[in-house]
Amino acid sequence: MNLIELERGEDIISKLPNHVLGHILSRLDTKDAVKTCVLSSRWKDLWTLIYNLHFKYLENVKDGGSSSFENFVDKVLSRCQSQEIQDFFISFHFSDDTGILSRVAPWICFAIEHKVQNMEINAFYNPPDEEWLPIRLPQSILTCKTLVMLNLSSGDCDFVFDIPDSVVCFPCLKILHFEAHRSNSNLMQKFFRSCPVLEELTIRVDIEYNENVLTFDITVPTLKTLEIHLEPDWKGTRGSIHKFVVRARNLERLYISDDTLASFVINETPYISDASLDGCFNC
Amino acid sequence: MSTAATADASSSGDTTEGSVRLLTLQSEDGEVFEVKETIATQSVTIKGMVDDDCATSTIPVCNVTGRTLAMVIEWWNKHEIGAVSNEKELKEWESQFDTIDDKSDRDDVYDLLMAANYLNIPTLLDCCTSAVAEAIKGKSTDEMREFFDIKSDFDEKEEDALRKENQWAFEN
Repeated sequence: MNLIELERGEDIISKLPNHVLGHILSRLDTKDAVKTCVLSSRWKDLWTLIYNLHFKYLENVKDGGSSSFENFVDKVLSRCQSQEIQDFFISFHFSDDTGILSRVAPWICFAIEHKVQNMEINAFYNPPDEEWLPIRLPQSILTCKTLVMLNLSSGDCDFVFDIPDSVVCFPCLKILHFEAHRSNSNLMQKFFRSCPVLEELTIRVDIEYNENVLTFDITVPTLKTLEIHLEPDWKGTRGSIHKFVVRARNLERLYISDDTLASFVINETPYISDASLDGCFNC
Repeated sequence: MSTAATADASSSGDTTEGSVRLLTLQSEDGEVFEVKETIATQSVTIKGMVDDDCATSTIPVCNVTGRTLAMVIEWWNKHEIGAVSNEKELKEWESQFDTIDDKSDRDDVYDLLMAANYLNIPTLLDCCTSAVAEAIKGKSTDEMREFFDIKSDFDEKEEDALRKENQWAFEN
């Protein structure tokens, strides 16, 4: 009989090394990781070793407003001991432009400073009327050397940032999922072509609010997979006819779902092996 | 669970089988296993020993029983390149390790975690940490204490203070 077997029935999990427990807690929603602090004094600060941060705030939960959620995120970030963050995922609902929105940029800056690899931000605005809000991302996201996956999705709001001319942006970004509502033309012309190593791109456009015709320039030589989803608004209004110009000589898979009669110009795709077009097309 | 490697107590040091070098591993409770070097070097710890030329005699695997070491070797055999024809088959085989249904499963996963940590086997560590995390999900504090045999050393006042400090996590 060995030492390990003699300990059966005892608290073995607490005897695991800190970094193993850090691995385990990093696989939980951050809220659940923090809740382990009350198990025993051994567990009181173990959650501060997590390297994945997963926050989710739904407005209809019983919590007394978003401010306690914001404070919770602030506190977790201030106590997090990991120097490198693997995943930073945050999902939240909000109904005014005060409070939570002012915190988003500092949270993203924290993740960037901690060498984040995968970032997902889901922001859903519940406006009192047909309002829309821009959410400005910190410019430091453009030059983040560790970011490999970025997923930006939103409802009744858009993520905005400026892409300076002749600057290589997102130097390591391989996977990008981007959702646009009232996105500006300048950003759509520069964003995708500024990503030098992008391999997988998914664009979702809700046509509802776009008054101007947008041109999406997808000049990405490294791109292998491209998905474009275009949807009319809930009233069925088709909105503007947008234009997509694709120049992706290594593209292997193309999926387009379009109910808005957009215009597509697809050039230089000799290796495409899987193409799917769905919706009504104006060829 | 079957023992995939041959136990051979008379052997010590490294030997070769054909052109493949064999390493000798000894568990905490004295069980000896001969394992192909190409397989055992899935352990970053053992790979470091081989690279430094320190794997010439019997390698003691501290704090790991023969029973657990046999499971580890089975893991290595399945994860050897070409051992399993497709990813789906491998995932199906791994699924026996990634859920903890009772305390017996739980104890096996602890032993594997200790071994995966000592031998530094990233794939096994990932699988076992994921299994424990899944077992934590959805459990209340009391349920966790019961399932993992964790004894609280907090008095009521200290526990209340911690709950208050992290109120949002406990209320949502």
